[in-house]
Amino acid sequence: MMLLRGMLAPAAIVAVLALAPAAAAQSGAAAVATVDVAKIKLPNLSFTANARIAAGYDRFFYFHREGVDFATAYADLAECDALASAPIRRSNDAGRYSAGDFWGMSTLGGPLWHSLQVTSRTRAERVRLHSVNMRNCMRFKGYRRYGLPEAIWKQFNLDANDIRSSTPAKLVEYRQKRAKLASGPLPLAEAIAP
Amino acid sequence: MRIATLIAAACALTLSTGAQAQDRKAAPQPEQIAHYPGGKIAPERAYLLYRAPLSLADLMLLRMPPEAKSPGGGTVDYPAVDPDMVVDIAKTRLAFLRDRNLFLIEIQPGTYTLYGDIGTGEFGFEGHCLCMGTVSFEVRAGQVTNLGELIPPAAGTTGFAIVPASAPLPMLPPFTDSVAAPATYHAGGKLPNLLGVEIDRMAPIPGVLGYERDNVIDLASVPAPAQ
Repeated sequence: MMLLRGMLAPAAIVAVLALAPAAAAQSGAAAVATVDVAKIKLPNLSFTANARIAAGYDRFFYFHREGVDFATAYADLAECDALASAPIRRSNDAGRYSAGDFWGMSTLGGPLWHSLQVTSRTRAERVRLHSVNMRNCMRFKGYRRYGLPEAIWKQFNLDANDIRSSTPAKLVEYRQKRAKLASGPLPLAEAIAP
Repeated sequence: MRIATLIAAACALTLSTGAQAQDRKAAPQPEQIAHYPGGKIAPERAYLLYRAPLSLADLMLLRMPPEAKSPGGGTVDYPAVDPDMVVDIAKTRLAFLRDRNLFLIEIQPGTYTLYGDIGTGEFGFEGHCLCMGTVSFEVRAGQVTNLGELIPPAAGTTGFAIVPASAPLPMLPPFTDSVAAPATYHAGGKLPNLLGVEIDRMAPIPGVLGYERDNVIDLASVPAPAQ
């Protein structure tokens, strides 16, 4: 990225911000005011760790902080979800510097193959960015991180590429589960690197 | 005054940080970066001086953003960001001394918040927004404001640091009548992730910026402990 720096066009930023919401408010109050925390069902988090599962901890995890209450945990997760889920903004400069692999472009199907590759990389980048941002944000808020197998994680988390197409009710339901875990008993497992 | 013309502008400047000042007790000597015959400083414009590695060179500023409000109940209402508030200072660079990583920027006078280091890559905008803690500062017309030195985070950590300049510095032509005045920093509040980049926060600055978990502490407004 460093080589590309200095090429950022102010017009590109202005164009992006013109499309961005003027303000974003993340309310956690409505989703916790009436909820009965005891009735929030949590998945079974028991599993036997191995190297393959641990290799996915960068992406599959949950948070916990000692002494935090459910409402605070929910608000913290809501704030970090909003920051982490901000869509990747394309700039007028980005396309020209695509590091795409152009092999096969001269053959039938080449452009389609290239397009699929770009889409795949973009989806992977969205997942990476979302994970990094959740980890940073929740670490600043004092939470520790605990790894999970993907199969368990999926029971109360959405892939970064599916968040925007999900329903608000699903997002709230999953966030309530995450908040209950975050404010629940201290996990027996060892915390992993933030 | 056209920026293209000013790219070759001569300025003589040096940057002194708190750390450097401790090493160098004698008055800092101006350094010639480039030569600009007949150069003039626009009295209605302001100038920013800073030292940074290339990885942190391209800063994005927000001009006069209102502060985020927390009305309670776990909500965060981010300030509305008008596109006119965004300043990509990479486009207003006047002078750059590569071997010393010194940058001089022409900018509108006003109060600014340091938003982050933002570039572009394969997926669009890249870099870091200081969405969870940053600083604001004022730049005045006809003056050079010295931001100090930007230092990347150590391996395995996040948040770049600023070592504020410690003293006014003399400038050579065309800034002969100027000094680079140290920026006066104030802690800034949270900001939205406008460009979908990595969220971060600035490293604490003694006497200026601190944190209590994710709450930004304006250390300048914290009363000194009783003797």
